[in-house]
Amino acid sequence: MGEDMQPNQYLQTAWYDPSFKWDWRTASHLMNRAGFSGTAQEIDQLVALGPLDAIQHLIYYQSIPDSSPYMQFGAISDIDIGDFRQIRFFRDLTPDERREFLLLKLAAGAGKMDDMRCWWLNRMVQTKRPLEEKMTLFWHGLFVSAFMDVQNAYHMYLQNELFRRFAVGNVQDLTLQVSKDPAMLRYLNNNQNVRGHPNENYARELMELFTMGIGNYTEDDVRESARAWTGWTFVGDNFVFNDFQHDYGEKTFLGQTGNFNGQDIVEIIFQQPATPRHFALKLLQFFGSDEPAPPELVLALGQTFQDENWEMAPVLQKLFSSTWFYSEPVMRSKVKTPAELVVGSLRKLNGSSPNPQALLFSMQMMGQELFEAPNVGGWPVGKNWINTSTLFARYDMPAFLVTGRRPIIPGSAWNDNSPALQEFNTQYSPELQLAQAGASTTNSAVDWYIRQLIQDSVDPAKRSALISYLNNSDSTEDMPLNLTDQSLHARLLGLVQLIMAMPEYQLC
Amino acid sequence: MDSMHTRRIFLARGLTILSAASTLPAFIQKTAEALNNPADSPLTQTAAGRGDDRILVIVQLAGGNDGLSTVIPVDNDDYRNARPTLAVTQNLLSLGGNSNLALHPNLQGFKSLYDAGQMSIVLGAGYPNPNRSHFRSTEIWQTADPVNIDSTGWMGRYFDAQCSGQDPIKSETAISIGSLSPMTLKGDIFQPTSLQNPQNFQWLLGQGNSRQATSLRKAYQLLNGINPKCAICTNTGLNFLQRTALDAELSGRDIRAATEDHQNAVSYPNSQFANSLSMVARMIIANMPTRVYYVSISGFDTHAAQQRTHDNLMTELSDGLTAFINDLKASGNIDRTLVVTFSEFGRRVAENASAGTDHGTAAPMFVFGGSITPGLLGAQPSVAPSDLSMGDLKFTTDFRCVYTGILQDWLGTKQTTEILDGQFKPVSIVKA
Repeated sequence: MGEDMQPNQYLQTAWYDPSFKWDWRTASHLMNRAGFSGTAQEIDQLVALGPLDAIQHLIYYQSIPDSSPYMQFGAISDIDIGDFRQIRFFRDLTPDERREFLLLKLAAGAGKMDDMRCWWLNRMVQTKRPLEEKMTLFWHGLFVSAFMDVQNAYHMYLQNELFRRFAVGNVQDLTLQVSKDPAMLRYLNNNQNVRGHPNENYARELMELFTMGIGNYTEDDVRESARAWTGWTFVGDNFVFNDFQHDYGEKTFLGQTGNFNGQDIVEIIFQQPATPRHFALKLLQFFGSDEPAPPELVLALGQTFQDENWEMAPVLQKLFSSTWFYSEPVMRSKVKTPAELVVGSLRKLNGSSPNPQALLFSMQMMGQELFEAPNVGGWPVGKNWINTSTLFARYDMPAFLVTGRRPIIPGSAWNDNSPALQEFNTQYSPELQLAQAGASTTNSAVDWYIRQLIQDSVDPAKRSALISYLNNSDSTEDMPLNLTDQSLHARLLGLVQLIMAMPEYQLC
Repeated sequence: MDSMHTRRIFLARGLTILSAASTLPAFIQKTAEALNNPADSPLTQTAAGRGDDRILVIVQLAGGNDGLSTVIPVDNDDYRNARPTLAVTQNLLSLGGNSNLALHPNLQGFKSLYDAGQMSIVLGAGYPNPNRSHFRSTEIWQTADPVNIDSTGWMGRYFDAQCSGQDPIKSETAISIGSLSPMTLKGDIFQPTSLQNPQNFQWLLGQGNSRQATSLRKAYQLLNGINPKCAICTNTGLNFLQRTALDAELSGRDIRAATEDHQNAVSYPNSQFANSLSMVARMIIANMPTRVYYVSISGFDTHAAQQRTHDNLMTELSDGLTAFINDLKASGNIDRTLVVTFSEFGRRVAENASAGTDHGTAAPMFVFGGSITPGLLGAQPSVAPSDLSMGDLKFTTDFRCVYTGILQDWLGTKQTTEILDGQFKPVSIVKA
């Protein structure tokens, strides 16, 4: 199943081809992409289901209970500081009091965002409905809003929940709801888009980055669309259509004329041929390959969106069932995003992190701070995640998972002696996992970890390097492992971190 | 122990690469050789060019700096009428002559450097058919291509052009501070080094001299230095990762030595921007082979309540950069260093309804160094309503003319036309 695939085969059902194998390799590939990678038990379960049932199990998850924690919001009164002039009590404050209030609010917002990141990370790790969180992440990276500009944690939460609700739902409906979302209205300044003083930001990005792509509309279309969106704003936590601020005049948009408002704009956008192609491209990149997808495939998947009336679930089913999805260039060749790397690592080590904050900081060093996409274009793609700085962040992260702290470098001024990390006690036990797996020799331990972590075979020379490390000698002899031996513990932790510091581990 | 000596020792003891299969990509094979025979290897060469030790520092003002609040038209009614609340009129730092221009009051450091002939200003820098998307306009400045979407930056292409045969230029020849690597420095072949935090710029577990650390380090180097068998040879993702790991290994020691073992000669203000600059200064003082550094300061996208934010940014910008220039002066590095600032666009002439400004067009670029042409370069765009284009300034200097000056006169390349895909009349920002 390789590069000699014909275009008309791309979306054909993979298992109709007799050479297709549904096994550990293909099932873990599905789990990597449709979720955040699987534990050994989860992958075995998918293999047993067979490909069709496995895919449906992942996509039609509504019957699986959502047991992940909910986000608590206390009595933070999130006053919109952009409209502080409207808040009477704020006006009564002296300039010093105002500054202090704003600083408190900033700190409260930032603190809440840390809580939200921990909350979402835990959801991604613990969920029994991994595609739900994966699709939330997808929408989060497409319909971008960043806390830095929104400055309202509750609104960021509402937006996140919107994405979760529409995770595998109707794309056109979601687009309309996003246009009414307070975080988005603020992020792209549509709350400042009023009759007579139009602000084009939302109108532009909606087409350029969210739905159609550059080159499929004109500057006139942007201007007319902006007029249609006037008055779409929010008060408090709710969307409000301010009809006094709305430009009711006639507009000409993408070749159609009428007294359009935002809802009409969305409808017209979803009638354009560029739109299904755009969403297909985004989906193929996020779930398939960092390399540009073949044009025929983009067209075919775009057609599927239209055939399915913009319902995401059947489109995903088509994609996850396709010959292309299981082809060699697509398997094991995608750079893991920081979220996939961190969450996947936690899942594979059967862990929950007692210190999610350290992992979130690590993700930030890798270039992905949740809720803070660097710009409205969203997250980097593929190799752009990788540079010398982010690579070390990825390679150093596993230390937190297995030891609970950064490694101590003897004599270095840079050892982190902060009490919080010192008290920290990780629950990761390599001995427990190996005992459960029945791995009682060095070779079998290395093979088990390679299977568990890389989920594919590795170059024999690299396997040998890992075995001789574990043997603590130049020999790759298969030596017995005494799992009660204390001195072996550090070596096993070292083994796990070594595997996770391989280039292969950065790919899924 | 100077850094050149340290590097040779590191390379001699350093990475051992297992059997080089015939399918190794050439660069990995050459790197393996370089690591074992540093004196012989062309890979330990730096980018050739005029003045092998000349440095360029690019400073990005991210978000769209309001040029009209930075380099300010003095006694100008059109300016004041367009900005009833935002016009900067008090405590201006006059740039003298017949310019009728002044610097923002918080740019005192800049003014001193300007008076000393160590700062110049390129006025009205922009490009035709201005784009007002942060995303796209930043890309245009970084790729030097206002028309097509490129995947390489102008400095990346400069390094690619320096590359002879199959030997790539070392990654640490261009260093950016921050976790995301700017397009400016990326070539088809050349990849820069990105650095956030020197002490994290290493595989921490393998550091130290204990037996455990040593055996870990040995295994790590094997796992990151070998190219797997041919089946995955075509996997460009894996090749790229391995190459990055090797690059990081080669440059990590140098960078840590430079930033930890060297001191700044002046004290820096307390900001992330100033901290990044102080790191760059230490690397310059340590005589790293790096030719280009890239630093970013963000926060300039002032759509609402602009005044306080912009005032603070002016302070941060001026205090940070002035400390940096003074540091280079004190350490004797100012003559070989050129610093250039840019922003993806300026902002509109008229203020908006939220006491802020929206995305605009042309804006000034600041140039610093010991070998620069001082003063004001180019012409300040007129703010008279009849001279505007849909409410925006018309650019007077194409930024590619500035790039041409840098490439040709500072870096001494003859391949400017290929690198910029066109010929542009250079702005003489450096003395001949």
